[in-house]
Amino acid sequence: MATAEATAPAFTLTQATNASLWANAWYRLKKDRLTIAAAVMLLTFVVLALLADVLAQNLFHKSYTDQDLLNNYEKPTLADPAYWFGGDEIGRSQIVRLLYGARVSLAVGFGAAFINLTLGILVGLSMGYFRGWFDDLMQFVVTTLNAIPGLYLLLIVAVFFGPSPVALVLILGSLNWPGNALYVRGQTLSLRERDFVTAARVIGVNSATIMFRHILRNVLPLVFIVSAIDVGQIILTESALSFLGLGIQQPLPSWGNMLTHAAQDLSRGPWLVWAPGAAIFVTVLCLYLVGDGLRDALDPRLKES
Amino acid sequence: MGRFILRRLLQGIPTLFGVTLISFALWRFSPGDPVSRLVFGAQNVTAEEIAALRHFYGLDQSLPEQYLSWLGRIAHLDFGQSFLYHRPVTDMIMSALPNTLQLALVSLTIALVIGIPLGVIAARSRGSFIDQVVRVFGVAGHAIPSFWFGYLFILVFAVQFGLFPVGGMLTIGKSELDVADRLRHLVGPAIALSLAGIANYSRLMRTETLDILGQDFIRAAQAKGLRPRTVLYVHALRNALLPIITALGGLLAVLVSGSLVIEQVFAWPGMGRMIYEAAVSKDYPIVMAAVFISGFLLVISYIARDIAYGVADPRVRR
Repeated sequence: MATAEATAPAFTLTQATNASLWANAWYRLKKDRLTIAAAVMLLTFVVLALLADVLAQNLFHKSYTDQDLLNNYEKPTLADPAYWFGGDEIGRSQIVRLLYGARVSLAVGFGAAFINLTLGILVGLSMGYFRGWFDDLMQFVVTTLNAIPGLYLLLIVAVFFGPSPVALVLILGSLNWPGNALYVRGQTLSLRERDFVTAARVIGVNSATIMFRHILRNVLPLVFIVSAIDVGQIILTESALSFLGLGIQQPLPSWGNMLTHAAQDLSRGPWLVWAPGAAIFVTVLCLYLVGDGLRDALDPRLKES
Repeated sequence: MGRFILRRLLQGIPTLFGVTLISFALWRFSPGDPVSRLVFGAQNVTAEEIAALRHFYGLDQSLPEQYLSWLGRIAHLDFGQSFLYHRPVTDMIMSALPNTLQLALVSLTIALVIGIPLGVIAARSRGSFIDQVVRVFGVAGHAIPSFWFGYLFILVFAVQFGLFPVGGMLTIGKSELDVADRLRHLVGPAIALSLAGIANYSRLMRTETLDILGQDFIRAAQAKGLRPRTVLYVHALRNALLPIITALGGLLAVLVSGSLVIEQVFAWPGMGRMIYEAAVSKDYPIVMAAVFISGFLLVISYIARDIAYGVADPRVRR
């Protein structure tokens, strides 16, 4: 985001006329070093998370449940790879748990974002396209949901369904769609008045095809941008719920639930506090930066400056 | 103007109705019968006693009847008794709510007082080092988990240097009215809670100021020879501040949500802590009341926001 201005050259007319939307976007994205760096960082996290099993067996020689009660609160040390980031209150390797935590956080983030984008697109498209009573009804639902502090609702529903990773994905996915729906609705409302939609209707294309082929296609790039920020927000919420003991449960590590315990012995193992939080922070930061960068690349008019 | 306010107030009614529906549904459709939970583990409970309890809580009526009688009771501010503490819920909420509002309002003030100038300064010296810092902070402030920041604060300022207390609202044994002591307890949670707001406002202010500075009336002001400072602080700032009003209503919701986690970190005796404990121990009268009251306050704050916007910008009154 920050370096984009300095490096991106003026956008020339030939590119605008000859290349597709995505080719243009890629051209601009390549020049945006901060976004590329954030994307590379994210990819590294994803690869590390996927390799968690291999790394745990071959490099660290510990699984995420292996305890060592005689050597708890092991300080971070370079001597033993398993304790690069120290050990926790029952002697488990912090770095192995961070790796598996990455798996959990990313899976929950992307899974829940997928659900809530699908819901948001379906509801938003229908609201914008059909308008009338359906639009009014959904507006009512969205306004009402917005009137209740989000975390209160999540907390209560999470208690109802009991803790399980699948339930968590479903809950986070099904309670966060209103923002996306309103966004898609706004776009649909303006797109449906455009000439190409009228043209399609005149030649007898049915509503479903107009919605999903003609309109959705134009909304999708924008939704794509929102999704990066969405995943970041969900990872933050998941970590807060897990931290409160209502999300991912021990012994399965998540960055949020690793902080629950770390917080109880702040003075005995301060290193247990630093790493999981930093992991959440960096991941979410990268997702936001990628979201910003994609937005600038896909639609330079929206660019902040 | 009067009609605008009236219309906006009327629009709030369906939302409030929706909030009561959700609060009621949360209680009635939660798994497990409330009475069976109440007598769980108790010995020698006869069927008649259970029936009497069900009658006492009105559970033998139909759902619409239960809903209406619950509505009637909350209209008198009677939220029933806590299952766990056997105290009137209204009393418990009245002791927790001011603490949450205090925290939220202080955080909001910090966010405004720091965020707005940051955004204006960034816009004024666009492209400079300060501008880059503000832009990076505008993203980072959103991305940092506030509860983690809270622990870092405790770790550094409370454990390491002992400058601030680890948590709570008051030092035990000190007077309720010891302002200095209260402020010391407020610093950590208020900063942790205001980060997202600072990021939000600085970003919004920067975009808005840049947007306004590019408009014709600014060029006109510059052309007639006004000092750049006057143009920025009088002409541009007034207009750039408008969207801040819109952001205020939404931010209150974020603050109330966020304070749930922060209250947990700093052992702050507010609504968030109360609803967390109530939800975990399935103390539904408290859960319902907390959802309804927070919803009620948010609806009011949205209405107040819209009216304030209508006062500031006559175009939206229509």
